[in-house]
Amino acid sequence: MENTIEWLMKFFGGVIFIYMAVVILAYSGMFLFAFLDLKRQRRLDRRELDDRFIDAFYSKPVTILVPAYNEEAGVVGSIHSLLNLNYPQTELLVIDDGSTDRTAEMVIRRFDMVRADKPSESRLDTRRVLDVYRSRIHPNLWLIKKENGGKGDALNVGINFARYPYFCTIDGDSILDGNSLLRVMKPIMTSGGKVVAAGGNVRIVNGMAVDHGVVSDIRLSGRPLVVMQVVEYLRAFLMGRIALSRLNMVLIISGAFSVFSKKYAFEAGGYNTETIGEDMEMVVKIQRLIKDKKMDARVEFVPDPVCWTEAPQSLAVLRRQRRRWHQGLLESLWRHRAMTLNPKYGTVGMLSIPYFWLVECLGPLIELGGYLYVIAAFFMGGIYYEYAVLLMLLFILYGTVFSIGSVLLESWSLNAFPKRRDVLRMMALSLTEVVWYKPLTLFWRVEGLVRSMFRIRSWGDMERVGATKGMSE
Amino acid sequence: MIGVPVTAIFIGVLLLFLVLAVLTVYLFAARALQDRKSKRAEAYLSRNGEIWYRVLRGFEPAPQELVPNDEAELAAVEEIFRAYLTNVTGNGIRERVRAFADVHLAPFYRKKLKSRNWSERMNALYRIEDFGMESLLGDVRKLDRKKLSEEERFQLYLIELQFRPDGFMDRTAGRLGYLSEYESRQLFFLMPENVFEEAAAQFGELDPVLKFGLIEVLGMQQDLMRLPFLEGLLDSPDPEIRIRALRAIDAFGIRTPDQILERAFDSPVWEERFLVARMLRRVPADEAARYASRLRNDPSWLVREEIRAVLVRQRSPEEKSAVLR
Repeated sequence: MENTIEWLMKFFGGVIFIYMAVVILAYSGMFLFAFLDLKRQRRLDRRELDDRFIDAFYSKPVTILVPAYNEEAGVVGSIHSLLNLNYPQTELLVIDDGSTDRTAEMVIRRFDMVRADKPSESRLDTRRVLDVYRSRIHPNLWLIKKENGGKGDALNVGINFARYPYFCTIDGDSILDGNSLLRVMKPIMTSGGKVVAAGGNVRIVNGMAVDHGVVSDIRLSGRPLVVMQVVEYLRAFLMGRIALSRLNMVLIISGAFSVFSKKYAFEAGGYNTETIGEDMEMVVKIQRLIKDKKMDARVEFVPDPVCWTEAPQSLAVLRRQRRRWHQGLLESLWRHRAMTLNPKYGTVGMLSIPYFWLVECLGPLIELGGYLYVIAAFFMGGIYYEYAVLLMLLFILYGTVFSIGSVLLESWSLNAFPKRRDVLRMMALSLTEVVWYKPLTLFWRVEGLVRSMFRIRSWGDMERVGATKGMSE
Repeated sequence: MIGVPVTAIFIGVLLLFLVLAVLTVYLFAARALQDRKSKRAEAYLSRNGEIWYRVLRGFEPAPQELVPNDEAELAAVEEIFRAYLTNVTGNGIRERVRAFADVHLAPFYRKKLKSRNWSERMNALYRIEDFGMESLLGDVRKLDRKKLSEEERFQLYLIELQFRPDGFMDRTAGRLGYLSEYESRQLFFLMPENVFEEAAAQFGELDPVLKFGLIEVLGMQQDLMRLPFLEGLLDSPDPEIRIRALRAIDAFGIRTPDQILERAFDSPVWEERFLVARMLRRVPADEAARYASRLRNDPSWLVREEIRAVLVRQRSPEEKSAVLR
């Protein structure tokens, strides 16, 4: 019996150790990629590029889609920010997905909207459209009211109604920096259409001062839970996505801020209305389409255009969000399992999808197992005590060191948080990540896995509280 | 057995924390330096803003005190030049900026052109183009021999075009095939008249991306003298050329000649039919209705929608709502 326990402990210890070593190596590689990329562009005067792209003759017109479901707290601020964008030609479609609060009413009243006709294609099947309104103040602003069908369905309605060849999706509670759309469109414009989808950097707006849809003062939230999410976003966007983008292996660009070619979105069949993670699903479908049809096209992540979005402020809401994200991830990977380790899909099939399976999807299970192992090993003492110390050190390396590294890298290259105090606070909280935030999120993600397996589905609506000064105006 | 990796990893983690601590100190020191630099630039701006106004308006020559002494003051001068060049029109200002930059700023940019950092070189190339520093053309040409990014190479072409336009197409046309459409449009948009003529004369030999750029710029320029050239392109066997030529003709905003409408109505390419449908907006109502009837049952939804919009626009309000229904 003792021998069996010893063998099991050694076996699981070995599995967890090898997994952690592989992940740390992969993250180190991606970190290095991000560092070299950001170092190259760090001193570039981006205003020069902005000035060049702002001319309508050079740029491509974009339809901005804002799906909104019970977003009365943030939708007006979000629309203001989108109306303030420095971009020569846009139309803005707010799609009210059957909200039960005053979302539509607020938009109609605030922007003086009247019923109007707008031509639409019917290439994507959607729930019924109830009404279309157009603003008398901003003729390029439209509101489309439809029956509730989920975010994917709302986006499909928007694509059907979109007038321009590219559409940009923005969450109803998100705020864009003035030049963000210009910057995210840059690879699309300069690649001559080869970049068919691009995503920008999403940051957390909680705690910031927002004035008429513009982030007017950058302040780090006072809540540790929010600060940890800020660090987590920095880490995910700067480390993972830059490297994956350089290697044309992007599988996720945030639905909170991404641009797609309408032609490719139609060909891919639009957003999936059945899946929970419709944004990842869309990107995977486009990557699959590109490889299936051997197209010379790519998906890119652009680090400097910034979209601000509201993050959960309570454990309960965060738990629902993480569960939902993980269910979405697993559903997409499962749906496209034929791509896994399939050479036909190039680096996406051979590297990216296996990485998402192993690290992003099943990783939480192994990592949570690692935590349990550490606890068990501490109690068992002897040689296991050393295993526990070793694993804890790897957790610290994997969690804390990379988080602090990301904060420093961001601060050095993009400097989103100019106040030294904020940078120090993020670093200090990163030191505590391994003991509370990481295990919590791991547990929720494993919960998502379990729920997927038992096909338990709920959207876990994000409770919008207008978590910033001026946002809910 | 496991003691060695534990110790090694423990030391490794400790060392990493030490490195992070050093990087933090470095980061904050760099920020402090940057703050000081910004303050020096602000001081330069408040000290010399008025003088620069008088110099750039041509009321007085530039005194020696305006010459920047370091990077911070250079950044301040760049801000002033950018502001004037962006917001104030007039060749006088552009010429005075050019004269000052050529003499006093060129040494800074010469050094930056040699930088190993891509951003520094790009910024220098942007400034050379913006401020018209012809004295640096030789240095820029030396870069051409090195391995450059596509962005740098394009900037090199823009600078070459600005300072040595004669024979530009002969020297570079064969190397411009890699440009994106955006860059191609920008290049043709900035071309002086004689170089543009040269390019149009070589149209048949140009790379497709250059052909597209040239056609788009013709549409934007709306020069009626060039309309026959565009009409000639409608005979091209390449549907993409025909579509772009039609779009350029549509951009002229004039009533399209009947023969153009006629030939495109029967095109098997829906984009061509769509563009002629759009052109019907500028055709008298009765004629438009006659033409529209030919496309009313077009297989393309976009063409049908455009025809519907044309008809709606030309009807009375009551009729409009009937059509929309």
